[in-house]
Amino acid sequence: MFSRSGPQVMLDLEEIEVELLNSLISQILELMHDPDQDEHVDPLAKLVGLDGPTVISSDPVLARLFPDAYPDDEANSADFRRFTQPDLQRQKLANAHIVKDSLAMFPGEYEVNPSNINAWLLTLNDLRLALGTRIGLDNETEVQLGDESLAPIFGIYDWLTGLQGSLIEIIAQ
Amino acid sequence: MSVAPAELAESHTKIDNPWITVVWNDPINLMSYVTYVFQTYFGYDKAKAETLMLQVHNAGRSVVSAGSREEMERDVSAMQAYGLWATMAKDGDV
Repeated sequence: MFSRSGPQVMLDLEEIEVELLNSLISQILELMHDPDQDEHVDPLAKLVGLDGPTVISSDPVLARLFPDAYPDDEANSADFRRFTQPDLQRQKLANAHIVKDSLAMFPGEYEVNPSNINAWLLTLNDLRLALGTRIGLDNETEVQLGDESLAPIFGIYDWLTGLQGSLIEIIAQ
Repeated sequence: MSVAPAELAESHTKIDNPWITVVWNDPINLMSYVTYVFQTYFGYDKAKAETLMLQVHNAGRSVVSAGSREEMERDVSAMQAYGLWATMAKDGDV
């Protein structure tokens, strides 16, 4: 969990937590290189640097991370996506890489580099969005609480919620 | 259902600021996180940020900014970067 020590933001992670974060981040990095999205890139647009996809992803997690900007307006949503998604994706990937790189010093308790705090906050949020969407929290479906196979994922989701919550508590003054 | 906060409705006219950014409720983003994003990105004070967050939570959505189309595209893009579920619309269409 995150804690404050004077002006410093500290993070204490056990070995299993480091492994878990590494694994989750690797998965989201892989997911964000989405081949489904590349199919919808206009080759001419790519040539002039407007290389974003125009259609929302069929993957529910990517659809949640990169939603349509204009409800019920396909044409404007497509334009918006084409102009903004590549940059948004680059930001998310860069943040995930910063967190992954900074995990190298753990396990233990260390100061979080102040310039990396935003990357931690946003990456933990992306991981919660990804996991929460996968277990069906996004559309508020009645999740089968009796489904034993989902129990570990709920456990991980709750742990991520606690971790992100501990960081917000420190930085939201 | 009217979702435009009173202070927003007063601070712009439909002619000058015809577009709005809407943030929708979702069960994943933490309430404390949404409040933090509204404070950090828009520079709203804590009371206003919490009011907007509670509106998202209770009413399902909230108009968080108003302005030109270009400004709202920037705001929507920023909200998406934070992982909030944001869309834009012409004022009056929502």
